[in-house]
Amino acid sequence: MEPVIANAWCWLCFSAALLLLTAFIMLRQARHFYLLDVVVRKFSIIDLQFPASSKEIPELIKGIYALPAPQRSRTLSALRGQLWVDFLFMPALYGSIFLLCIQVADKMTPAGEIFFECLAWLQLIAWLFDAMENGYLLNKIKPDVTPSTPEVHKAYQQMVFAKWILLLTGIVCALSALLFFWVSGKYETRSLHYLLILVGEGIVFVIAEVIAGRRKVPEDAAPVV
Amino acid sequence: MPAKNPVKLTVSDFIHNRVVIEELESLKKTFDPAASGGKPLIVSDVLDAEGHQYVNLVQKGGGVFGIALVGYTYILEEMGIRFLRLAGTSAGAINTALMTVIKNKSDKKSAEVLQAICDLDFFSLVDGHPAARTLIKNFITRKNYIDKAKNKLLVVLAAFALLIAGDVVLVGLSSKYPALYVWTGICFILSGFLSLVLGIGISYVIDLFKRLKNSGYGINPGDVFYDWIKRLLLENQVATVSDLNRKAAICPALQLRVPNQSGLEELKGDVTFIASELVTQNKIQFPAMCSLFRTDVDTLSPAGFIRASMSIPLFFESYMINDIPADDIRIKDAWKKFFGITQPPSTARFVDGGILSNFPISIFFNANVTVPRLPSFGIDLDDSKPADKQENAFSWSLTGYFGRMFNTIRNYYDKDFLLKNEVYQRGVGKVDLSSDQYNWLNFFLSDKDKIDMFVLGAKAACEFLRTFDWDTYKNDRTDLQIQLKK
Repeated sequence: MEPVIANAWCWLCFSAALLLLTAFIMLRQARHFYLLDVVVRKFSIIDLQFPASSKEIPELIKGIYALPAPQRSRTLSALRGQLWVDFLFMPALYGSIFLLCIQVADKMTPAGEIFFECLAWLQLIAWLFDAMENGYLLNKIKPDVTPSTPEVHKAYQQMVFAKWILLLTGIVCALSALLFFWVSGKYETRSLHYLLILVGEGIVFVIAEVIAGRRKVPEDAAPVV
Repeated sequence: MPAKNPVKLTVSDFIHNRVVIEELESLKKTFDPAASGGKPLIVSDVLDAEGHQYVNLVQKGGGVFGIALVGYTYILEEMGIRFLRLAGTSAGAINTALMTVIKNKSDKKSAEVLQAICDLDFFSLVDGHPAARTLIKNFITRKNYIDKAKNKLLVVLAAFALLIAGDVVLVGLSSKYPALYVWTGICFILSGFLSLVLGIGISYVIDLFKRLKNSGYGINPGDVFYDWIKRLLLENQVATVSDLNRKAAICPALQLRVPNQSGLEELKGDVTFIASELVTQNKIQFPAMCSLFRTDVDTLSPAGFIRASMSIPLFFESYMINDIPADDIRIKDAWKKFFGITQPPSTARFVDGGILSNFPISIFFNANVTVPRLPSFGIDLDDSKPADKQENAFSWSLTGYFGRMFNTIRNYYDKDFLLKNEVYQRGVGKVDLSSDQYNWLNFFLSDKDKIDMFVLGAKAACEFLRTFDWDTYKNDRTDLQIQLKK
């Protein structure tokens, strides 16, 4: 059977580089995520993805608008920015998982091949859900935000859960299988070169994170209100 | 199949309960001078034109045990007793607030309070993260939940260890027996999945702790409670602190059963909610101490006082009052007057008043009155389990040790007052809630539990009224006052 993508390892190196670059930008943006809920608090994008109730997203967004003007605009632009950058992050993330699954499928028994190819193509659905989730959140970021109806909220929750289940299943299955191939010695030597490139990208990312983390930005500190 | 409609609890379910009716009838017979062996019920010298007797009432905090407080006050009201000054902490503050704002002082209010209870989904007050809600629910409603959870975690960890061992063994064997190749792959994938589950579990716990920290160490925001109590106050025309004070103070024309040198002067109603303030580490009496926080007290929400009073630490987020004009001379004077503090804080952070004074009967102590005109009644909620009452000083679990330490600290403030002024103890009725069936944090109460608690409160009130002797109480309090003046 013809491979779905020729030279998937090479593409994986590119998509991983884009993934790490966008992740780096998004982590920088996340440093400005504050809201005012009695006191100034930090929040994360995960809080928006897994709201406890339909009221939680509007409450969180109202908390951002309740911040003093300079802090509010910083947080709003960082949050909107992260959601837009996420549109670049998505093809890198789901593309990387897709390529990993395709690589694994190539080495599998016929049943395993079908399983991993399905898993690869399911990443497109996860990508679609993620894009819809971002659209929903971007639409919610306004001062007069109201809670969604229970139906819409439930649909949003299911979409987020489905996205996470699909992408985590893809990552876990593909990485576990790859680990098995490497441990059992059933791999092509040239794939190690790509593995080295991927590890190198990871090291550059960690170093960049450490350097950026050391730089104290005055506005990182929670404002006194 | 027709959909099941759960039968909603009604006020009638409480007040027409067989035990409550029997107890009340028996009590009325005891205090019916027309019946054989009957005597009039006399609990106070302060009366209104309709013959209601007035007392001061303090209600103890105790989470959902607050329903028993309603049972108790229901009987007092049915026996013609009304409340001039009211005070309470936590759950006691909630009942105190409702009894203050509903209708007029001379009216019965229990039916309205019960209606509010019937309309409230108690579980909605646990408005934290769904995972936290589930954990709290399981922890409170399931016996040995922690042990079972520990066992499950051990099973998962053992499975993880077995899978890792399986990976190593199968990799070695599959090179010799190619038939094992597929099984080795599956074992690796399963190990990956279990790693993921453990990773998600650990991240989730870390995330929950982060949320806990970000929310000021409170699992539930308490917003549902705040909205609920605010709505009830508004429905009873209480929107501001002035409205609350006005409503608490309005009394019908009062008269004395027997002459008293203090007369009726300065005899007026008020209300007090107790909260603990953590920034300056003080006991705050709302609304009397509102001037500590605002120059215009009407900018504070009365619902906030009750929310502050019931902020069970960790269970609910602290209640905050921000933007205190700490440089304003009036605010400075207020802090100096109440606490001797010269530099007021700009933010006050409140937790449950019960950590300092869960039964604030001492606030009714009046050194200026020698012969009391009315008694100070108190409703004590006794939820100490048999194990807590044991005098064994050794066989304690760590939680039992900390529990006893905390109880010693939090109860001693009020206990000390009652030990030194023993006569006040005679106005206190005790509701026995020590059964294992009840837990003060069980916001998942069944309707039956709610009714049972109400009945226990009602029975305790009946027992109290049968034994309370106003003349003895009055004489003993007079003696106490004379001794103190010497």
